[in-house]
Amino acid sequence: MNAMPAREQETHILLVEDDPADARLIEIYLEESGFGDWAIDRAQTLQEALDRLTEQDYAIVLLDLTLPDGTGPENIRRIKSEFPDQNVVVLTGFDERVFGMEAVQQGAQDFLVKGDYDENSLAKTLRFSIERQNFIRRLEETQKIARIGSWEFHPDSGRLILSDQVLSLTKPDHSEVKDGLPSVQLNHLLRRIHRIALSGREVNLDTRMNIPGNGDRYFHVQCKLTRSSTNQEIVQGILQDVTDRYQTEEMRKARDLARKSTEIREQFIASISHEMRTPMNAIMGLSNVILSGDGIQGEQKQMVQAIRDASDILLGIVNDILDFSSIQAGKIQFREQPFSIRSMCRNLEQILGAKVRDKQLTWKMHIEDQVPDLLIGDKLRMSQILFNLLGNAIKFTESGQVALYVELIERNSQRVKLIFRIEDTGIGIPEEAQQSIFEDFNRVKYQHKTYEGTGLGLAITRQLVELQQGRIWLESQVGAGSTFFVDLSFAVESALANGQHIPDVVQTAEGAFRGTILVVEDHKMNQLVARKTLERQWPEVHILMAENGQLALDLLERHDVDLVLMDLQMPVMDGYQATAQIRRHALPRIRLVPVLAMTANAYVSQDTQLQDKGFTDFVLKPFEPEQLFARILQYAPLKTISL
Amino acid sequence: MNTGQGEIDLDYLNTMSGGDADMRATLLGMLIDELPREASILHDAGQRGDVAAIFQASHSLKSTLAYTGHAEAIRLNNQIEETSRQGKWSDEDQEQLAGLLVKISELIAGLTRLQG
Repeated sequence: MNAMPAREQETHILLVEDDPADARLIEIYLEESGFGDWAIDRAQTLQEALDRLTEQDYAIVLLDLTLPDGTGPENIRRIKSEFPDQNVVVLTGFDERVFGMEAVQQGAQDFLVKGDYDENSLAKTLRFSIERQNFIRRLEETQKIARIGSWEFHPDSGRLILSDQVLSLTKPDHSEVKDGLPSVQLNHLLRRIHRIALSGREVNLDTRMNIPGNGDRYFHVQCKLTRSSTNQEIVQGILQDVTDRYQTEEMRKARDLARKSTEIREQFIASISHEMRTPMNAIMGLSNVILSGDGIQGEQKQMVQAIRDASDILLGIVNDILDFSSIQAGKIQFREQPFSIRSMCRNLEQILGAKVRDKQLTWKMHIEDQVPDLLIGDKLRMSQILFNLLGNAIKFTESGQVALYVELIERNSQRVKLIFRIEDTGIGIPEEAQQSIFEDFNRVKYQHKTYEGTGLGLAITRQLVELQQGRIWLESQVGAGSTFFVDLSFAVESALANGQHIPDVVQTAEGAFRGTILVVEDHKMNQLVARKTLERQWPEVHILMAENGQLALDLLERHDVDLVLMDLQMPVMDGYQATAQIRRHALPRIRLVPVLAMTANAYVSQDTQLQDKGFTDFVLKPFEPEQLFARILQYAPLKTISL
Repeated sequence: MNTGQGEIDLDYLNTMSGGDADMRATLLGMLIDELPREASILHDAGQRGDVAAIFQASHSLKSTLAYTGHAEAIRLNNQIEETSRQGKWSDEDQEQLAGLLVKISELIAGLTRLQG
């Protein structure tokens, strides 16, 4: 062994050469070539070389193909089988050139023919081999990251050359790997690809393979048909593991399908529920008509009463389902407008009063004096929240008291935070049930009795609270009663608070309306019909009439108006312009007034941008009185809960 | 309810009268006053070929005709309104307008008889 001291940055070379003269010649050439800093270790046999490679890293192995313990390409195969990444340059005799070529095919970087190289060609070969090896290493790292491997198929010889990465991807447990042979599946695949390539078609496909121990994996395969220097066909290609991408795509498809299914289900529920409301209203309305007359007595009256009560429950369920599907679909909207908290609570008191009296319960309501009366928020949803909680309190209380308390917990110049406390002396809720009480479809069971309803009421209530950034929670004791707490924040309107009063609007449980409606309509007959129709329905309604948008604005300045019915086509100023001006008005009581477009045109009513133009909603002309009343009740301030 | 006066159907007018005979009479009187006035405006707009004015007149007439329940007049007027809304106007449309005016004149006669 001829050893030179190694320094940092030196190129470590392992020279495997049994002939001392040839070994010395290499050293001389290296010294003369200006190869840089290098150090050589020498092994005289193949076994000695393998031992040294086990002990130390070498940048290059210069390998003689004729050694005492090995000859020809077998030498390179043995080194490569144990050190596949090792950079090897082969030394061959003049008459062994063919071995040199074979060695390169086996993985050597290059070969030098003894007696046919000089110091320059030696140095050049060694430098290039190092660079090539580094390049290959980087490429393999990249391929590992991209989970991509390369392959080559020689149809004439049937030889298949696979990169390590291909083997690693297709046989990660190496259980089937013997002598670098691919799995049966891969072999079949690549041969099939060759047939496609031969037909001239582009090979660019995704395929699935079952990898032992790793399940089904998806691969992308691409290749092209080339020819060697001897005009032999070679199919060169890549194989990439795209399982992650496939799985992501599959998940996306599944998610899209689930979303679509949900949408269809929600639309179906909403549509069915909506369609159910009309006949339900008819059943309830006609039942009320029969009950209010004198022509029915005794058992028949009780039966009609039962029909009405059952319809009442059914309509409540339909409304719950509609609300729930709107919330689930993210379609629920909150309308901010000024309202009187005390008026709203009084309204609820009226609505629920009959039920409280029927059960002979005590009703208590207290709103702290510090609570400002005028708040800005969605009073419809606020009413719905309290209605649900108070309705439950009454439902689950057989004796004692139901109470509503409203207290101020925080206040600044812009906002207030209120806490609503709904107390009852009812059956109470067991501790283990309190956790799930706000979940969807949770129905209360007590003493083996399941109470009627969808089990959605509290879920809807929680959603309505949380969608407004509020909180809801409860305290309860079985047999002693429950207290539900809701905290919600509201804006306070300082402009309105200073000297202006809230319109005095009260609706009864039957949907009666007492307030001011401004009808903006240039058609004389429609004016008369609107006035008479509304006055007939609600004798205490106050109607203001304007023939065009400009007059409507003047009236709005001078009167407190609760709702505007606005024609669209009018002289002087049309409904669009007038509504735009209303929405820009400095006074909140005008700016926030509900405006219902009145239109005889289907194309206008289908205009999804009607709301963008400032309209709250629309009613179709000619008026259907019931539709007109329903729309007014839907949007007028202090709207009652659907009954 | 069919009035027996040709194609006039006063169901809507009666509904909106809410069983109030005075209201019904008032509405009928207004119809008889309004229809000639609105028809005249539509006629003049058609003569001028003023499509915007035709649309305005036709739109106004739409509400009035709704009280008559006259399906054919309503259909013709709806077509005229839609065409003019799109800014289109042709000789064929002008003929249709003339047809509508004839229907309206029959309508007025029928309503007048109904009014007694």
